[in-house]
Amino acid sequence: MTTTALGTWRQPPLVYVVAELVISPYYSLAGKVPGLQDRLRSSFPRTLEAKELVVDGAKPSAQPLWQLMSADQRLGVQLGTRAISLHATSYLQSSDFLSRWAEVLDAIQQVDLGAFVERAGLRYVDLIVPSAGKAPGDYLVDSLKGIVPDGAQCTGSMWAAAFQFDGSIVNLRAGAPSPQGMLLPPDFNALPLAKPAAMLDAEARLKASQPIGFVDTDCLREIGRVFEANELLDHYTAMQKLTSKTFKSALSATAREEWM
Amino acid sequence: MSAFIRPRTYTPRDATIYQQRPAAIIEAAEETEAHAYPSAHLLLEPSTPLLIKASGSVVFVKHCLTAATPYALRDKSWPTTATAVIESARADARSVFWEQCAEQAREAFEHAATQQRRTTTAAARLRVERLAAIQAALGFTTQDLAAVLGLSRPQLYRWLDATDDVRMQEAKRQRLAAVERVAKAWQDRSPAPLRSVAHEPLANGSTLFALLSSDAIDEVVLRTAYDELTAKLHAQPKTLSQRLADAGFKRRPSIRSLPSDE
Repeated sequence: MTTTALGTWRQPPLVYVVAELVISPYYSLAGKVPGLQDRLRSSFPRTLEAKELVVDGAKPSAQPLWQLMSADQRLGVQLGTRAISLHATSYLQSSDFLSRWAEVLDAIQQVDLGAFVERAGLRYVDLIVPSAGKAPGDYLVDSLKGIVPDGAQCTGSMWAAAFQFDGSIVNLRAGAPSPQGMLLPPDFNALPLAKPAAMLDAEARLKASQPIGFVDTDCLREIGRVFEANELLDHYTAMQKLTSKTFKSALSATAREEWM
Repeated sequence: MSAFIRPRTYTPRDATIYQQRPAAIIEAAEETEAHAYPSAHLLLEPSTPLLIKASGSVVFVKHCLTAATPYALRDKSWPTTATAVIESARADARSVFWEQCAEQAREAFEHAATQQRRTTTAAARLRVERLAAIQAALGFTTQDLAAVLGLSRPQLYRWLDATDDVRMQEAKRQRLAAVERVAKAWQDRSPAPLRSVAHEPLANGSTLFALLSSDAIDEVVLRTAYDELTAKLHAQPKTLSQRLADAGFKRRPSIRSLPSDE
């Protein structure tokens, strides 16, 4: 995969995308992993085994986790007893990402997982790396900028809201500037994927103690049904549109001019 | 057909013949491709019926012969869920009948296998939807569309078949995404299908079709070509009907036109 920028925009701020299915605890997943691995091997030939600590009630327990990675390590499928997800730091456009996710969904369908899907999620993380003479806040609409008391300098600003659409909730969180030293938004577990150019730029700015920002757009939909690939793909197609609409509504004219 | 199972009585000779016949059905099942009916089960317990299942489309039920009812065949294509009882027949006719039955079983298994293979996957459905959107914007012939996507015609037909689970190579995947982007870029500029100007000569001597079907699609050059062609389209003198419409004239409904619902 040759692209280093994510998306079709001229200068896209997108750095990470996750599509996730939260499933009802599935303790016999280990038995299904060989079948999934065989079906996904052509796209995800590397496998990492891990454990995740699940805090469910009073006693935490370690549950197995499998991470199937693409050869260039820009895409990864995570298989866990509570969630199955596709992570990407390579993103041509939404239709391409959804077609890759559809292949994962088909593989799950073919191994007859039969998991009960609690929730579907689609999360996009964009990093604001301001150009010369601009601040991270310049890339957000005025209503997201918060307050700055007289004589103070803002070193970290977070804004969060949840929007209810028909059947979906979109959580929009923006940090402009991000709290010092924070690269990715809070409550975000990234896979060890290859970093895209925008993320490397943001890291370089953090090292130089220069401000960056983020926009974290997360769309959730309650499913409450047994896994069915075609039906889930329809949900994701609708969720992508809501995510895109919500993200664009947070952008200032400066952001649109510079990125789109 | 009766909605109820009708009991029949048989002589010991009949029973012996029937007892030998399930082998023909099982053979029919075994001779078809093994992967085609992963749910094939053989359950035999002393006091319960024997079941042979194949992908849910056809079920053979053999009650143990010590019980009265010999064999029953239930097919999902029948209008009711009633079990049909095979009538007692003459010994020579029975042999022919069971051969037919075995043949039907074979066909049913093959049908089930075909149905299973031709199920549309989510990825295949999305691929076909993407191609349909591209075709709506470009309006190309199948041959031209195949050339633009870097495929042969048979390959394109496979891509257009939602029941064909094509595994796309990375290069083809990127090509499809690129064509999708340029198709959308054209659609944003003009409602007319790209086909109408695809072979118009450009200032650099090339054509849009040549740019689109080249090995590497240069999106910057294409967008410049789009601008050039849309400018040409706008500069073209308007047709009489366009000028009349701009002046506020409306087309009078033809006497031959269909009456409106009102």
